[in-house]
Amino acid sequence: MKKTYAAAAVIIAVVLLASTYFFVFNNMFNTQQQVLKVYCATSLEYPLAVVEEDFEKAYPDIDLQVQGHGTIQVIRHITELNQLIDVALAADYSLIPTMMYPTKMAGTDQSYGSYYIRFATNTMVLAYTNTSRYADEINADNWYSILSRPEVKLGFANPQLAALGYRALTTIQLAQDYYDEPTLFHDLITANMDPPINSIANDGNYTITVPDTQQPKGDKLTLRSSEIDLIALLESGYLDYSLIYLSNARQYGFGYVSLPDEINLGSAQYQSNYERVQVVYDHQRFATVNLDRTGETIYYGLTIPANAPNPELAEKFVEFLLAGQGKTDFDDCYHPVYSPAYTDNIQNVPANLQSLVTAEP
Amino acid sequence: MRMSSQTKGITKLLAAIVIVIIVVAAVAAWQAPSLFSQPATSPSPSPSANPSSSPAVTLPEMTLTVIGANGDQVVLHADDIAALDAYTENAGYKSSGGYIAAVGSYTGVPILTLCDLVGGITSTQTLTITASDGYSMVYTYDQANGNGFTTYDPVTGSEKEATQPMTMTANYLMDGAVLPSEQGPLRIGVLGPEGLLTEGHFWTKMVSKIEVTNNVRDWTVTVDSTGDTEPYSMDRQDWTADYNHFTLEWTDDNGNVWAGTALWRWVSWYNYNGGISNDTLDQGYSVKIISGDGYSATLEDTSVWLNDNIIVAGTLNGAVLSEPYWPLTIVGSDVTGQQKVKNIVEIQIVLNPSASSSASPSPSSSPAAPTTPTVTTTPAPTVAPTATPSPTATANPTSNPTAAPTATPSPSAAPSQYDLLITGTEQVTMSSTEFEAEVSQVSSSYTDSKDNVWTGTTLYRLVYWATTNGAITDAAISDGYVAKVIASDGTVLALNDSRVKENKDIFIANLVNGEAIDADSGPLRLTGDDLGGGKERLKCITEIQIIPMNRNITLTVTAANGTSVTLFANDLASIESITANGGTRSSSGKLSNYGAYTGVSMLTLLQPFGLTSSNTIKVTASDGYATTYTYGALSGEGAVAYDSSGNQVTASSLTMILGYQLDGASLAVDPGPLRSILVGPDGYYTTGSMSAKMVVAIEII
Repeated sequence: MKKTYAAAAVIIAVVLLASTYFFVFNNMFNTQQQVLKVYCATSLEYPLAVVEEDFEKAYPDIDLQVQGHGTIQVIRHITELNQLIDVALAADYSLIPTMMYPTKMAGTDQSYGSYYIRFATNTMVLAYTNTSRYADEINADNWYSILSRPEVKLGFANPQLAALGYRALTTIQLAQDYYDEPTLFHDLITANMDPPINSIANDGNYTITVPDTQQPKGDKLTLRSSEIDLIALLESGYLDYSLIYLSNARQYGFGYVSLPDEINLGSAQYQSNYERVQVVYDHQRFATVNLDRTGETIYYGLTIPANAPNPELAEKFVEFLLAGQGKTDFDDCYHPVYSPAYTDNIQNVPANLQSLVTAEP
Repeated sequence: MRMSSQTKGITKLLAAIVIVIIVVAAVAAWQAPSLFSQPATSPSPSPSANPSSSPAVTLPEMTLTVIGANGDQVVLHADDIAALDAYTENAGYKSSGGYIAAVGSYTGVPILTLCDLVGGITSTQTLTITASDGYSMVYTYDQANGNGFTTYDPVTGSEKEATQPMTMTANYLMDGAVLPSEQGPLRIGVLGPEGLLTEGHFWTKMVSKIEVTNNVRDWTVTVDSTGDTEPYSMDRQDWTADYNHFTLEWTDDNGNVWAGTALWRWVSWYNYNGGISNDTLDQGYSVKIISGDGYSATLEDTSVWLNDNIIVAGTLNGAVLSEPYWPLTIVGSDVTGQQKVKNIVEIQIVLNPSASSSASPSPSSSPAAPTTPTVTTTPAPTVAPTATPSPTATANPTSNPTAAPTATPSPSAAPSQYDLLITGTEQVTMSSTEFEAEVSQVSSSYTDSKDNVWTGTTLYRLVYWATTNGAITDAAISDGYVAKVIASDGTVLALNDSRVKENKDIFIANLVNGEAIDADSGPLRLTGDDLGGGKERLKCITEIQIIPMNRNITLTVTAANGTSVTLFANDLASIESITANGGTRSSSGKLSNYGAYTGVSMLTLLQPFGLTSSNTIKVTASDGYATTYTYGALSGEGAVAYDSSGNQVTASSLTMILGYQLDGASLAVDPGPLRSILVGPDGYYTTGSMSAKMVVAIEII
């Protein structure tokens, strides 16, 4: 009899505990923490890491996953690789209409995108560290001549891969005129690449031609895919100077030379001056986009792709970024967000976000 | 209540079970979140996630097109690719965002193996790899060979230089499993034993086409006139040949270096090749440069002719032009903004109305020297000041006070009248008047280290004159020639046609500082910027021989001491030549290869290389044939001679020569351009074994 009770007690205990075990497991697995995929330009990775933390605190049931890529790749993931992304943030807003508007989603007449929100700007600066050659004498008046010194090592983003790259070329070309140094581009860029990146003048305008392969000649110039690698090389002392965005220079604690508004691509007042420089590409890299870029003011843009798997969560994120803690995070990371932001097509902006944006003039 | 020992045992068992279950549950609960989050933060499958590592994997359907630089094309399917030697090593990539991804063991076909299927890849070529979604990436030759990539540590992501070779591959397996469809079936990777990472953009997914591409695209530009002339095409190869000889550079205000040839050389090229005659050009013309988009600019002959500041450029900063300038663009200090025509597709010589009606496609054969408007009228300011001397100074030197020595000749004064022998297959005398007329047509100048300015006409122009005045035909020199300049003291300088052709920097001067050259150096002197030094600037030129010789002549002579030298056409032309008849008789009795051979005596040729009577001579042909001769055989010793009837005869004198002409024409590549053969005054045939064709090497043994 006692054995019977004991056996029954064991069975009951096992059942109860097993139930507890499965309850715990099932409960954990059935927690539907939704994943929100955000692809961004690499120059936004730093502030978005802070935003991610705060957003997940505010929305614990959402797992915000941020992935940085070159701006062109951010959009290509959507339009050519057919990946399902909830929010795309580009360092060059103009790539959204260029790449997404004309591209229809497979089997539909609907474009991948129909609006952008232009939410921030940036400016080009020349970043350096205390160990950079001539760091103690460089300033806004002499930086171009210091860069021209043979022993000074300079880093650029690859213009074939990153908006930062073609913007750096544009800045150097504009500096050539601004400082009246007619061979500056040739001396810094053309002469140090094989095949050369040429810049040809034509009635006050310039056409910079980027060849299909990018190979520095000698060790004066270093090209990397994005600011991530340039920052590492700058920190390690391999590079003396690099043309990067102001926000990144401040985020990573570099010293920097502020460049005049006429050439730093950060002032809409000088848009017509920036437009004098066009960067063209010798090689068609993508099926859906011509990379040729005309100089213009730096504007960051975002959109929620038409095939975003979680459009409502995406709206929450955008709202958080434009008007919530995310905006504060960006401000704290030296990358202020416009308030209000601008859009080219307000009727296509989700209703919940329309109050946060204003139509472009 | 006291429990029995059995009850105590059961209780302990129960307690143990409970504890175990609780622990299991707790562990399960603790592990659950990480189990959830892992897939989200680890985009790359770990090796353990790919258990299918069996080497016997069936590859999915795939089609890979491989195209060679010469257009060869192969289409490979799964079976074809599986049959190629595979390469397996570790690799991964680092994205532009800094993510380390796709780390694993990859198996694929080396890119070089694929290239070899279509002729391989050379250092002047690149590789364009295209995905099925239209993405494409260009790789350098170095990268195709596994070099030139920025590499990263697979754990830390920091840059780390490879210490062992890397191999660029088209991969079909990762960790033993076929690639997922969004990556494969083929994906480019850079593999190596260190498993280093490379930049993600080089990892082209879904590869569908691999193409070896020449860095230089071919092109043609039409050269024509508004008259009744045939259009000619200048292609990249023609232009490159000119470019290599007559390169002009111009640096723009921004430091960019443009290089090409002078626009006037295009007119000269069209004229030289028979597209338009001198007579027609002499009546005046302009040059219209036409772009691919229809834009054009027209330049007057007075600004074009001999002006090296108007350049048809084909390179920029050392590289071939790219769009929108490719293939050629007009640049130069004498080119205005509106004249900077890009993407040139046609150069048109716009004739004056009177010239249009008399345009002729063949060059003028008249030795008369009508002066081109370019030089008879006041030169435009844009004309290079040293390019064209004053026509009054050159056309009639006797009117020049300093060139009138006949009245009061000084000991050093050059004669006011002189003759120059021009010898081709015929010898023609060129008078001083005719020479000066040529100067007025094509003038060159050179300033020496003492600032003396020498002016005259190009050696090339005199070759042209020879062809139009009966000294030699165009056909005779079509395979090449050597221009041999001979001074009154017997000094000789022989120049290959590659050095002479359209070269305005090797010329015969008749004036120095605008006056006749004194008797010590003149009346004619060879000079110019392209001559090697004073030794080549021959004085007192009396004759120019134009010797048809195949421009492909290359002869390696190995001396008795083992040293070797390579001789070219001009080296052989510098040696006294022998012309005599000879032929060969085969073992079957057939008589052939008969004619008047011109060449150099083997004894004369080889004695400077240490040939003695104790040596033998080994002669090797370009097809690998080799034979040896005794020293005595070079003088016909032991040779059996035959008359034209095939009867054996005794030859009085035979000499073995290395012939480069037969009956006055250069030997073709086969049986030439050099042939050893016994010749002599009797013109007998000798046994075929004593003659070797296509000689490329002679060794003294």
